[in-house]
This record gives sequence, C-alpha cells and structure tokens, in this order.
Amino acid sequence: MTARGRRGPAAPAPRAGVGELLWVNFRAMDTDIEVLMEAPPARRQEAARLLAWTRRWFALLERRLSRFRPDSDVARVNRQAGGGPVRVTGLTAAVLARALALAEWSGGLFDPAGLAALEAAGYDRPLAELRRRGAGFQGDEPGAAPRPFFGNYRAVALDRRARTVALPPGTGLDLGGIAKGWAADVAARVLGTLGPALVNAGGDLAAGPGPRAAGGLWRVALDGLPGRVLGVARCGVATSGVDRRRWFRDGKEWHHLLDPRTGRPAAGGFRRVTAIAPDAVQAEVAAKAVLILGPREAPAWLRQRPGVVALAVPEGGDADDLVLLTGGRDHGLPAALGLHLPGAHGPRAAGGGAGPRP
Amino acid sequence: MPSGSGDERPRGAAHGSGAGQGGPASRGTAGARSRATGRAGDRTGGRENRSPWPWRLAAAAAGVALCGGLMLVLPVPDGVRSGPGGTGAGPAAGAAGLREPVYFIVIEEEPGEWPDERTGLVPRAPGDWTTLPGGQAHTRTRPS
Repeated sequence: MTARGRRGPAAPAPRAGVGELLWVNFRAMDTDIEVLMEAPPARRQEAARLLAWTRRWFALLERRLSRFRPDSDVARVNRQAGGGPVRVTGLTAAVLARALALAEWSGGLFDPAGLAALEAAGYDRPLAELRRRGAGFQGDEPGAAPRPFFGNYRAVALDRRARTVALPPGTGLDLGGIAKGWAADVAARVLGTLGPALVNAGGDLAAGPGPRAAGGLWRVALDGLPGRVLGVARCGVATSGVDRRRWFRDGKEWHHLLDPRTGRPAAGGFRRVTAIAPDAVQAEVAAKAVLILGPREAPAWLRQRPGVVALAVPEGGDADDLVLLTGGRDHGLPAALGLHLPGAHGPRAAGGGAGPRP
Repeated sequence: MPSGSGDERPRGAAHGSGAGQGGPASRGTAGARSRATGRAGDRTGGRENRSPWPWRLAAAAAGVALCGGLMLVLPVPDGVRSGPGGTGAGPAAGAAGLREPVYFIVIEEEPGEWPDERTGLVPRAPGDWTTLPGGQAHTRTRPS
C-alpha cells in the first residue's frame, strides 16, 4: 500500500501539530465504504496500514455475513433452518448477538430474522441483479402474500459459548440491516487508536473524535438536503429512506424497509430519517424504527430511548420540512452534536411543536 | 502452616485492626494470625490474596474510557449550541470548524492483494468536497 499526496493547488501546507487528513474508499458489502482519518505526518505509514486493514476487515465481514454468498455463515444457517444448530464463527456470533439485543431494544421494529418476509416481498437476490431484470420484474406475477415477522427474532437460538445458531423452519437471517454499522463501529474504534477517524459504510457512519483541523467535529452532509450539515463526534449516524432499494412487485414499487408488524413496506409517513446515536449500529436501527413508526408514533418511541436524535423528512416534504425528534432531554446524547441547519425555518419539532424538544 | 513468601511481608493499613503494626516484629501476634487464617493463600495453594481494588479501578477506568467518553460534550467553535443536542442556525460552511484549512490526501492501495477484488479505489481530488451539499463536509450520510 502506498500513500500518495494529492494536495490541491490551493491547499496550504499543514501546520505543525495539525494532522493530515487521510482518506480511502473502496467497495464492500454491496456499498461504498469511505474511511477518513487524521494522523500526524510522522505516522502516515501506520495510518496507511490501518486503512489497509479496514478494507480487509470489511471484506472478511462480507464473506461471513452476506446472505447471498453460499459459503457465508449466514447462508449456511439459513439453509439449515429447522435442522438443528449450525456452528458459526465467533465474528458472526458476535454480530448476531448484537442484532438480537438491538431487536429487543427497538421493540421488535428491527428484526434480523425477517428474511422470509423480505424474500416474499421480492428481495431474493442482490439488488443489482434485481434491477438488471428491469422495472417489469415480477410486475404481473401474483407474488407471495406479505408475511408479518414481528417477534421472529425471539425464535433464534444463539449459543455464544458453543458458537451455534439454530433457526426454526421457515425463518432466515438477514444481517444486512446492521452489518455495515457494526463493521464501521469496530473499524472506527481500531483506527481511533491512532487518531481521529470516521468510517462511512454506505451512509452509516461511525465517528470517533473529530479532526483537530476541523474544530473537533466531523462535518457530515445530509444527502438530499442541500445546505444542511451535521457536526458530530464520538457517535454514529445512519440514514434510512424509502426512496432507495426499490423494485417492482405486483405492479407496485416496493422497498426493502418492511414493517415487521405487517410484512409490507413501511409507510409511516417519513421519506427519510437520519438518526444520531451513540454508535453506528444503534443509529441504523433507530433510523429504521423511526421511519417505520412515522411522525405519530416515533416521538413516543424515542422518548423511551434517550441518546437518540432523529432528523426526518416527511413523505412528500422538501428540505425545509425537516423534523427534529429527540428522545429525552440531554441524557446519554452523543458526545458532540452540532446541528447546523441554515434553512430558512430551522428544524421543527414533530407535530408542530407537540413533540419532545431537547 | 505453609509459609509463602507473602506471609513474611507486612500488611498495609487496609488489612484490619492489626494493620499498621505489621512487620517482622509483629509476626505471630493475634492480628497477624487472624489475617493469615483469612488469606486465600491457604485455600489457593499459596497464592497471595490480592486486593480487588486494582481490578475494580481498572474496570472502572475501562468503563469510563469506553462508555464515559460518550457523555463528553465537546465545544462547538461558533457557539451556536446551547447544550447537548441543541440546535442552531448558521452557515453550513464555516460553522462547523472551517476556520482551519482542511485538505485531503488520498491513499491509494496496490490492487490485487484482496480476495474477491471487484472495484478499485476511486481517488478524489480535494476540491471535490466543495461540491457536496452543505459546503465542505467531510462526508455525507445517505440511505444505504
């Protein structure tokens, strides 16, 4: 691995004591991974090695956790559903344990055992392949009935000591909902041993302390919301939207965020939700939950989960309609959260002021 | 009574009423005997009964390092926040710390060393950041 400087013509030389911001991106887990790290110039080689490790780390997790790879742990477990315990690697067991804990934390709105419903909805192959078939894919086919999967995760038997997983028949695991965030969290923690680091896995961010050169905050833009920037540190940020990962079924457009209570695509009333939580994997789950619940139910859900902040765009709304939802007063909030919202009206509490405010 | 190396050492003040008088001269006193009978060395093959406090302190320090840091509130340079989670309005560029110049160095890796190599790196010029929504953000979040 080599590190080559690509300084812009107007970029000034680094001041003494201010680290260089290193950057690398690659593709893994069917998405773009971006890693940023501030490191002193004297430790650039070390930083480069860590950045290279990050790529191996994501590749390893993809091999273990992808449901589309026949040799992955998750695929083996799914094939053996109803056939007794399957031995998995410690890594897979750790991710699954976290997934099950977060399923409980979310009140069942996130469920890693909802694969059957996802496949019934038509998401039975990688999205790129799904799209290659054209917009008419399954357009006229009757398709399977939606399958509610609320509480499925409770039937997953994970033995961490023996590293085995057993599923009841007819169920399957899909860890795609949290794998990226989990991988980003671990990577950011490892990179953080050298300096401020941020790992962005397809929009799910794990941020360590912010770079000194930027005032100790990572500046995170919100896709689709021009002019709005989050300043974050030591926390996770994730965005969920019903306008991504879509396909046609029964003549209608479906998306991958299914409501476990109905088995149908979520239609809570939000188009996009960005959640900020203590870590990326929790932010991922929170964003999904808030998206599913919508403006009516999400405030109450957040009130019981301090430490989570959500920014939501209502269905059919534009950037100025951004809604801010917070879970409590200031207990357990991420380390640094600067919301810089230069919109004309600023953020509004959900329900026209009825929602909780910080 | 087995006499391990730890038996010969005086005890610190944290070890009961006999503490403070410990030392070679106090060996065989009632206090010393009561201490000896309660020692784990008799039960664990001569190993010294170490105080649990170093471990407790280490665990507490680790807890603070891992979890307590989440509670730390870092200052925001422009002072638009009123508290944790507070909100404020300001220019997207500059409000979050653009007082210091930021520049990027792209790290390129040698291709071919990765299994399942599918996509190479996409180096990005530093100036590209200015095209991101919100000005010079470091990165962006989007639905995955």
